[in-house]
Amino acid sequence: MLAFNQKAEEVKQKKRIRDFIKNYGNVVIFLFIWLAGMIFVKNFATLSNNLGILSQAAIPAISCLGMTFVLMTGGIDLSVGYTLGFCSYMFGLFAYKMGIPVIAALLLTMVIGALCGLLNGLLVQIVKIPAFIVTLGTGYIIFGIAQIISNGSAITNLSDSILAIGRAQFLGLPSMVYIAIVVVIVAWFILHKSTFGRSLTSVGLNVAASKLSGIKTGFVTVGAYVICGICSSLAAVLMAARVNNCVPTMGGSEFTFRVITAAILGGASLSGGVGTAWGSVLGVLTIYSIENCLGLLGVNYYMYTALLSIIILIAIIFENLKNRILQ
Amino acid sequence: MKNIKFKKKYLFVIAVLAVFVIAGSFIPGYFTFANIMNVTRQSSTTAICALAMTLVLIIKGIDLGTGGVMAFCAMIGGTLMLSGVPVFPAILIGLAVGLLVGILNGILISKIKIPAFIATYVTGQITLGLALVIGQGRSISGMPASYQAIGNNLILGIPINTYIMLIFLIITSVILKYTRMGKHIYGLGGNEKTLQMEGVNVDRVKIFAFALCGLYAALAGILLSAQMNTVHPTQGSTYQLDAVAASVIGGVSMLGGEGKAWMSVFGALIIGFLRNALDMLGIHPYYQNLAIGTAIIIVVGISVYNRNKELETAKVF
Repeated sequence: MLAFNQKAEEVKQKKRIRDFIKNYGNVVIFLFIWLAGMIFVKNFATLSNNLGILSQAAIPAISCLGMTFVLMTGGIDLSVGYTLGFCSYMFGLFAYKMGIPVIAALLLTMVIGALCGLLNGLLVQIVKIPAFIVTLGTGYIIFGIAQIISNGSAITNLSDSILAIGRAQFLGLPSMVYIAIVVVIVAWFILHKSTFGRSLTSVGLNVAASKLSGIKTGFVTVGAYVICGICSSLAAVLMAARVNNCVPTMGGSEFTFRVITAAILGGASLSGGVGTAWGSVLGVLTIYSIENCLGLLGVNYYMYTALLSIIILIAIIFENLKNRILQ
Repeated sequence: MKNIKFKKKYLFVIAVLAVFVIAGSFIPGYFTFANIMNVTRQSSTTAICALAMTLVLIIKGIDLGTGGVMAFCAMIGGTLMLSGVPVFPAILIGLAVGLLVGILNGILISKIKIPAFIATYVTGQITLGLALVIGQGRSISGMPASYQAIGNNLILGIPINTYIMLIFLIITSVILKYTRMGKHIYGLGGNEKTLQMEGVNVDRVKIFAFALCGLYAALAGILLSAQMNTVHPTQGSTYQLDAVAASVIGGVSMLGGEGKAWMSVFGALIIGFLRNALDMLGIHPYYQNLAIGTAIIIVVGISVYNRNKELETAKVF
């Protein structure tokens, strides 16, 4: 009897450790990077540097939350970078060239982002083409349209009232950080507290079973892509304000790559059904902490891409091995 | 049933040829021997990438890192040449590096079970980053004249690139059609479990396909840089989409198990002649991205639709 109890205790202990790794692996990675930075990198732990990381991470975090919705359905969106470039140019066109009030221009841009997402979602859901092929194709289509509309030019020197949307300072942080925080809260609520979020998890885990239990799987899948598009367009507006430049080549595949890896580092699964809002934010912060450390260490600028992707590869391998051990 | 399938397959080829002839008769200078040879020279890079893509598409994989490998291997070859290594060994080292990246992809996909498009995407970014590091973000040039000759000289009036494309088309066809590995590649795309039960080492087949894919990508990168006589770190960035597009337009299924080597070369030539026609008509390159993206979605959409319909009919009977 005693042996049995001991065994049960052991199993429980193991389960507890497993659950911990499963739920908080992303926290461990982030703390590890952050502590390593604090100990080994000079000037990393200063307040101003960390506030800097926060404002750098704000825009990708918004896109990453959108990506989390799509990953939850078991899909992927490789077009976010191009949607970002397209939307940033359209925002410049609306707000600067046409002189539409900033808020109206923002809303119009978000409608365009939603349409891009709707296109992806409909192709994935109705035509049933694998998500990464659809979004690879639409990425180029969106980029092509953006290039045709912009004719290869950029819109720069935006007026101060337009720039204020991302740059207005409040308590030492630019407004985009506060916008990002609002988006995080909204995304957290939708993902974890609403029926839509629960349907999303269910669709990601098992489409057939969800359908049988009365979930409108089509609506949920398309909705996830639309949300992703809206997030990308919001990120585009803030990015345009941040760099004072609206140009179709702004996001590209590199931005997409960062957003996806941040979501994976944050604990979202590529096979769907798993993902949290706070985890994705943590993933973005991890990536930007790494980049910040490399910058402070004076690593050659061209080493960034290579080093970052090697670290990401290690993280993905770790993630996969972890999942296999847990199973 | 077989007859219908046969017709469907060749109807497409005939339609393309018809469009080609009509387009050609409207554009002056399109059907000259020099122009046709020029297009085959330009298409050879895409065609070799597409051959690589076909190998992995058949096993239900994909390679989204072609661009990085193309730049990285050409960059290594070029840097070695600039530091005095003879042309031929430098090219061989470049190809060997491509093979190694391919093997790494294969191991990540088969042993660690990372989805192919993520694994190749990440290794593509790593190789792109390394190409940037080697070139310090700039392109390198000034390779020996014999290197440049590979990309630009003619033998019997036909570019060397075109010969290389045809040689690799034949090699790939032979591997796919007449070797045991080729049969395993099709088997893996059709039904992995069955193949495994037959006692085939599935992981080895996957690693083989991706290794060959890396080797071909490296070759394409080296040919491209020989043609331009410069290596630019982002020289390959448009090629991964073109390679997917060429294979898919040529008739390789994205759902695995189907596809032949000639299809990818055929697809690459379609894209090459289309781009050439658009250029000669003075249509801006911006429209070409749009056209190719749309073409991929339409062609894949039709093939997925047909596959689903076939499955439904199979259920009824």
